[in-house]
Amino acid sequence: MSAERGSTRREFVARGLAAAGMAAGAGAGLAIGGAADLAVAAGPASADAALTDPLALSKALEVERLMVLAYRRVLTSGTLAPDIERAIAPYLTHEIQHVSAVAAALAAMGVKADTGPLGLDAAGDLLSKHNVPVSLTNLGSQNDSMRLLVDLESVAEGVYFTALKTLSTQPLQRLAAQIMACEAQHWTAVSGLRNPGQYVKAVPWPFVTGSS
Amino acid sequence: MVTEGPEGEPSSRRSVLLAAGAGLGAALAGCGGESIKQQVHNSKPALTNDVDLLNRLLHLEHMAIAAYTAGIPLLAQPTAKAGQLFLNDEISHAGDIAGLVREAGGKPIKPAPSYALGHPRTSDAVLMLLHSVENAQISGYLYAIQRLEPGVVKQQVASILANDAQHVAVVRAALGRPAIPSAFVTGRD
Repeated sequence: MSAERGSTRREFVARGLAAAGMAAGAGAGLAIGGAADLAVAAGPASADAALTDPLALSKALEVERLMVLAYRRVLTSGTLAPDIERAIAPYLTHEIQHVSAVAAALAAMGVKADTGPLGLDAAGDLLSKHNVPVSLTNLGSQNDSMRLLVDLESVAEGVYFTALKTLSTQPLQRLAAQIMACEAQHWTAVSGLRNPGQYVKAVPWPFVTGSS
Repeated sequence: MVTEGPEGEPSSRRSVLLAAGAGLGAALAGCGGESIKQQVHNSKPALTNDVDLLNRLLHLEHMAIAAYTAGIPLLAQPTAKAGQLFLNDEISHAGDIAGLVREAGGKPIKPAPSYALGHPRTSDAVLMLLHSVENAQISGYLYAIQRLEPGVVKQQVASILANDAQHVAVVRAALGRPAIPSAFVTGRD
């Protein structure tokens, strides 16, 4: 996670707010809801969106499948204390739900989405791509396992943060924000378990942007 | 009850905490001196512009600052340390949203002189208050993300939403509840 500050945002805001009037009505009438809305998520989309939405969601799905694999590896690694294992086990379920929701959104666009387990080789490549130094096949300690999860939750935050810049429909934007917030909660919970009582390490910054 | 600066729109704020429990529509409708029912009835189908929406988010931030400021002295340790940390976060969020209002050509609203935050007497009662306030913010940001443009503003708002989601997870844990009850953060848990 990192804080976003400075002129870049201001420049974009100044430009974008000029166009806000046009955009304000674009999604009018769409229901405000959760993941279930995605079945009717087809909103007005530009030609660019037809390309960028599937691309952004495909990246998110790839990371979510990595998350599922990582939680499974960690939970079966034997490295976790029983209380910590109990605490984080529900997060695997959350990640599986994220896979389903993102895959459903892709399917609604006519994009075939693989929801099966990510292979270890592909997972290793993805970890390298995101500069995560911990190996899925060499989790030797609780610290290794927790570090892996914290790093991957940052990656997951980042993939949705990036997607929100371009996602074109309100239901997709809402879904991305809801999942990003959940990943941030996971980050806080796992980091909190690594550093009991040190809230500053569980919620270190006022702005969550994840890692790229 | 907590007091802040002399400027603001007190009449538009008194009901917002209650509105948070009744849903975002009421919270964002926030009209002066009206009941929640009246606010919902009178609310517009669409907000007039981004400045209006951003100022309503800023209002929620001001209220959160007031709630943490008033509540922290009543929080048991070590939760009070988290409260102080989260107060600082909310102040950062308020500054950021105020900046967005200015960049959109508007004038950021000032904190109200006071907020109807109830009369929590215990640490748990304060945590319940903070839970409601954080959830109201989460609902507000989820609503706003779908309406504000351009994408970088959505990102900025999402970065605050995610931080508030972290807050509410800690608050829930301090209340002895599951910290993360759902795979999708809604502001209604």
